[in-house]
Amino acid sequence: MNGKSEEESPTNGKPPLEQHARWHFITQRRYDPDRDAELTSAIIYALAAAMDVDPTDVRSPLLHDVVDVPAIEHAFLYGNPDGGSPSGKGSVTFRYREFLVMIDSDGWVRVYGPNGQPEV
Amino acid sequence: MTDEYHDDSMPDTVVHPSSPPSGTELVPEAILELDHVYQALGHPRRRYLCYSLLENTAWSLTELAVKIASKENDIPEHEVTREQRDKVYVSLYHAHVPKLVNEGVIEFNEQEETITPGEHAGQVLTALSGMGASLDANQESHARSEMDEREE
Repeated sequence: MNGKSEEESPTNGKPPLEQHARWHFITQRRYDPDRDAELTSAIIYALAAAMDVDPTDVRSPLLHDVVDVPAIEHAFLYGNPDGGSPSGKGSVTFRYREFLVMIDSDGWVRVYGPNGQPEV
Repeated sequence: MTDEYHDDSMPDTVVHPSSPPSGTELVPEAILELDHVYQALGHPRRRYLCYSLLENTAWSLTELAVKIASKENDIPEHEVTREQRDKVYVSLYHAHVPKLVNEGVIEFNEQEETITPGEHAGQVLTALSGMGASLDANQESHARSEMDEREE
């Protein structure tokens, strides 16, 4: 599954985007349902850490307008109705402002920043 | 409306195409458009937001986040930590409020960060009461409760 930045399509594994000259790893956060309740919160908290602001100060754009979070949750995080474990594997990558966000099916949310000239 | 939207399992008190509009928000043909009702009520946090519309007070998003965190963690409102509150707040702001706005169930005042009933609120609230408020009686009474003294 790919988000909007298909040219950044990474291989699975540890920070693959380090291989690209355009992005550098900033921060990551493991989605923990007990701690974060919702993937939206985990993503916003990771972005807030990358931006060095309070999570409630991450205002624009609305995450809802950028990426379909429930779709990611259902693909990666929620089990099958018959009790099986989630079968979706891979990652979703999308842009949030100047940042690149990658959600892995193992629950890791990773935020990357642009190197050099930020893309507009 | 077309039969495509008519749901025979709904009680007559909810779906009653022959009843004339009586000055309430319920327009008969719009009652049959149920998809936004299911979307609105398909998540416990959104259900809580919808219940809060029953109050005349327009709670702010921060106040609602405290209430929801209190309910989810089963602690009194004054014991909700800032982090517990903010975790809920960002999910309301970035996910559930925009969803309900898109469904026309609420309107969101960005200055005050308050939610008020939208065009389709009446149908959602009718569905809530029709489904048996007893199921979510905890939520309804919780949403209607007075705000505790809270620290900012």
